[in-house]
Amino acid sequence: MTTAFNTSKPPFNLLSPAELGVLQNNLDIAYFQAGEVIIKAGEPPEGLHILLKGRVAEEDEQDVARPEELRHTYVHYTAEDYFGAWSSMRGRAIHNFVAVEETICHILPTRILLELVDSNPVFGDYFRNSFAGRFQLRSNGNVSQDMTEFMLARVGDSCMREPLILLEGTCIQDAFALMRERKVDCLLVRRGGRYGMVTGTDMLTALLQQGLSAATDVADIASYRLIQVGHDEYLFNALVLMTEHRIERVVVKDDQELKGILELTDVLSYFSNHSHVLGLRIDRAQTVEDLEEVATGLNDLVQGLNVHGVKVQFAMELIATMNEKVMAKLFNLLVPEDIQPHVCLIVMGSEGRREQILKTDQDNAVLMRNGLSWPEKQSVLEAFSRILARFGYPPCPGGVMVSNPEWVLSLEQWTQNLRHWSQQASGDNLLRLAIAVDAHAVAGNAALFKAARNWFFREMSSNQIFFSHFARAALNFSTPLTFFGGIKNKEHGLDIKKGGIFPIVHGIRTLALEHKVLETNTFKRIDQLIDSQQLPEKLGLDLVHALGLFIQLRLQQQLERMKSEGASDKDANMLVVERLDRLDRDLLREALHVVKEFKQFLTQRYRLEG
Amino acid sequence: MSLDVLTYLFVGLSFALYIGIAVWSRAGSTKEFYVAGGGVSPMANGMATAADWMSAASFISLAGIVSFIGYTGSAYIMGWTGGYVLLALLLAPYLRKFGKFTVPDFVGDRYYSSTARTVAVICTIFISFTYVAGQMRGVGIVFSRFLHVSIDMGVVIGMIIVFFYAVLGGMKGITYTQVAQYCVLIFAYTVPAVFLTMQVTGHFLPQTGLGAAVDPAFNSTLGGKPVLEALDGLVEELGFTAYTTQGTDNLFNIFFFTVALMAGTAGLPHVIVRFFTVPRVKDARVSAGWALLFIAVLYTVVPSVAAIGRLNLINTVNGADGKGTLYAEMPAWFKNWENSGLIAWQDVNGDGKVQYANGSPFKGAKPEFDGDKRAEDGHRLVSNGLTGDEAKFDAAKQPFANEVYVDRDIMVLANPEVAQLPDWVIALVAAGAIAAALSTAAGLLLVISTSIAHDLFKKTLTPHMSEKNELLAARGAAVVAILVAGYFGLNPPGFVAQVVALAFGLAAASFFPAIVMGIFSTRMNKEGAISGMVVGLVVTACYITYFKFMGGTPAQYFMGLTPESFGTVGMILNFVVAFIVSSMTPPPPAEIQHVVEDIRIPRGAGAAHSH
Repeated sequence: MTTAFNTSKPPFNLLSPAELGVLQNNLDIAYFQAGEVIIKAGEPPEGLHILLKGRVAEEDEQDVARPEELRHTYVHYTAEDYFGAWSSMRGRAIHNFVAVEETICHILPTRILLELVDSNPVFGDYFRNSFAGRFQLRSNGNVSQDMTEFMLARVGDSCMREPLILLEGTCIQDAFALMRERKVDCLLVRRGGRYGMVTGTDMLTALLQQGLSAATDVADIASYRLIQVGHDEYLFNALVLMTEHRIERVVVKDDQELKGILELTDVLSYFSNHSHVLGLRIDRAQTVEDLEEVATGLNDLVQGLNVHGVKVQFAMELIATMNEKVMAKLFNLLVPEDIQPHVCLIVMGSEGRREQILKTDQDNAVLMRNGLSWPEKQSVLEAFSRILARFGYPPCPGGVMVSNPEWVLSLEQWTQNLRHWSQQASGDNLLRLAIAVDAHAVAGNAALFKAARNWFFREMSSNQIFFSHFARAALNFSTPLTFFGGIKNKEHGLDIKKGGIFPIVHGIRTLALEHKVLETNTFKRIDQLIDSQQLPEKLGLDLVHALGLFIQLRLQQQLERMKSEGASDKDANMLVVERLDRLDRDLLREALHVVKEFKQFLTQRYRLEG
Repeated sequence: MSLDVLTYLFVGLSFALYIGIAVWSRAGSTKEFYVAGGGVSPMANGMATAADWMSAASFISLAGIVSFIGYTGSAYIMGWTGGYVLLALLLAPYLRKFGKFTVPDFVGDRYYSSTARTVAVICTIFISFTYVAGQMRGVGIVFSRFLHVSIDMGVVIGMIIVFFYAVLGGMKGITYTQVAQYCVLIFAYTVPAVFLTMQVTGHFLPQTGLGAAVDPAFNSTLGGKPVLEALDGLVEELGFTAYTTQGTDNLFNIFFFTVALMAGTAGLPHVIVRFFTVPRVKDARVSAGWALLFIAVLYTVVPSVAAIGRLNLINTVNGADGKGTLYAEMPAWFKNWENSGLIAWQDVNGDGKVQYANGSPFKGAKPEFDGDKRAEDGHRLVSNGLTGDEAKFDAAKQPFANEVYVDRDIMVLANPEVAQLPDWVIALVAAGAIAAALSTAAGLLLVISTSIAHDLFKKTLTPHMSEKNELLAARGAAVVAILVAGYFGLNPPGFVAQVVALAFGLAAASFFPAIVMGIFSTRMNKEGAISGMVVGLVVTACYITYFKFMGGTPAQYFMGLTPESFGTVGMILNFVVAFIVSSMTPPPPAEIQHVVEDIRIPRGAGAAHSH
């Protein structure tokens, strides 16, 4: 067993090398037998204890005297966990820390800990901060991680431009016209075996400041000291070169062969351009074939976003927008123009909430004006579903899509369904209702959808009994926490959808429906519920963090599995706790406690005792 | 195994069963995200409703009161059963559509007035309190008998157990626990009834046992006569009015009493909630039907338990020859119940024999025990006893003065012992009585605590209370409820079933009309409803106060109506006043009128979006 101190784990990775040196020099190692009291309540602890091996329980003061089964243990600490920081900073422990098994740990003396906390505010904050504060820290860490991933992209496969190359002897006037034509701001000119670069600014300087004529050869004003990067160089290095030399362009070469030009603005707007361009292309698509090409491109975007570890909330928003654009465009292409004002395409479920990360099943429906006659309805809508499937949106296994006549309804039928489902709020009906509550309009006449939704809001308004039954589903699964408040972990992992995501999403859905919140996205619903004081602010913010964390951890492990073993869909929601680092595990535990608190809130709010 | 050990075993086992079910149903996580029907079948829900419904008053006290007041007692059975039907058919489905859990919530929203809500909350809390008090007394009686402590001590033990069970245990309203409680209590009620009926008549089915003839082996003089005829003869000989004609001189009063019980019952908060626990409307209706059936199983047994129990009691106390039994020869149950203070013997004529007849052997109606002092033969001495000629009785009508006091509430519990049934049957009855009391007490405490925390504080007094404080207030209210109920359990203002009846009278006079008009009349406004409720409540309360506490005599009764029956008059007044006032004041807002119409004839969005 190694006794080396692992400095790569938070919070110790926040320390500078000099501070780490101080830390390493002052670390003690201590050994405790099972049952030995490591820190006694009411006494100052030796310092921060970092477990190397064994198990330590945090217990009530009086518990030492009691038989084991009567003790109240707050939490167990195992390898790589630490304890005693708070007690050290406070000068006195309020609980006993007792070795449950034979335990070896590093001890960072209180004096040194306090010095480090003083000298490094970020490190200090780590110990002082609440859950939300620590989450912030985690998010910041992630941003830099995103950047790193981004920087791993290579020059050749990103945003290099094809250069405009002119021969010696072209006059400035002609060169300028060509630049305008190609919509570039820079050209290369060849003089002998060398290339020179001329930019728009160079031309302006030559004409206005130096007083040269427009007939001057561009080769005379070109700069021949070009900075170049390799074709397979990291984008990051190109950026460093540009900043070092205070230039905005570099030439890309592959074995002395000129490949293109890399512009600073292109590098910086690498991401936004990527999706922006796609959005424009969707708008411009004239035929189904055009659209298909873009839709297939979306797959790359999705993968790219995931690989680059873009912040989950942002990625979800972006992907949902793109998916909706594709569907709306396809709908407009297929449905005759004279029909469009009388129908409305809605998306439902996670798509309606804009919370999918990968392309998910088609969950959609069509609302029609009462008494609309549209004979080709069935064939058109079947084509719609079929083409979407071709675009990479798998058909809904439950048949919730427009090719199924059950989901192509007149306003009257739709409201009748909603009423029926709400009166039989259990099983499949509850499922359908939950999907429908997350609906929002994507194409066609949105007024139809709004009429139905507002009617339903009114119909259900203050029906406490309905909301009580509706909310109950959020309590169907127990929160995976042990009696002592630790994470209940099984070998194959814990189901984070059942244990964390679903209770939050469904509970918030219920509250949103009751308070007529128009938003369908869970995060935005929470914001609005806090604004209208239907949800305590602290609980609401904790829920936002918790849900964000669950989704992010799930995605992280999904991607890991995809890389290594080619995971099946079955365990898409499984989180293997052992694979999380100490900080993530901490955050997960606290987030699950937030879920538990939220469930209690729902129980109280909707009378779900028993 | 002794009777005590058996009782502890049965009670312990039944508790283990309830707790086991509760734990099991808590721990079980479902596989599906959206579960059909919450997994509870309408039949199971019907059983749970029946367990909620059948309180200690039903289980312990009902047969006792029928037993001693005879024919009139059937008003309780009809009133309570009829009230359930009224509730299930007339009110619950509409309240469900209106979307309110509690009557105060409904009244408050329907009449767009927090005054109306507050009046309803007070009524609810008052009814629930009296009801819980009844449960407490019931539990106290059981504990006092089987733990061999005084009734007061029994009530205190009961309070502690109910507190842990309902408030800390978090076991309120778990359907399957209540299903188990129903099974235990119905088994505990019917098994001894079957034994008793067999023993007295040789006929096995208690429901039809009343029509059977008395077995000559049971009593040679009464043998061959139908049960009721035998009983009539027996009680008339002892100076009582005939069992089957007792109270029939005022049928008008019985009718009003029954109506008051029905209307009051229909507003019972903890039973209404049960209709809302099933997610599907259709299932709720089916389970109401099942519940009625399950309730009927017990209620149809009550008359025969009452009549046959009385017969058996007289037969046992006075002996087969009808001359009384020597105290030393009295069976153990007599002495056991004497220790609880629920049976007393005052040897009026000094012959050493225990004799039961009409009249009271004490100054006043109840014995006052002289500490724990005992006579030489071991019976407890009372300080207000009468001796010799002090006890006046009409020698033409009865052979001797009454020497025995029997508390009506012990009838069901004592029955199996009086009939010398096997020990396990007696133990079973104890477990059943506790099940009945606990299931109802838990349901009621939940209602009281949420009524106070939610309807009174959150909705009326302090609207900005946080959810946490609401929970705290609910817990606090439950504790207060238990303490107050315990107090009434220790100092009962009457017999359990009678106190409850008074509360029902008030409920019938106050919010029953408000609910009915709220559902069926679009025109009824808050002015009408509130003035109706106030008039009904005040008139009824005054009548009751005058006759119960200010010395009014039966001769002064309005049209011969007892205070228990007067609730119906209050109810009629309520209706009349409400209609007159509402027709003179502006109609309710259009929005409310739409809602009331929608409760019965729903509309869709199509109509709303026809433009």
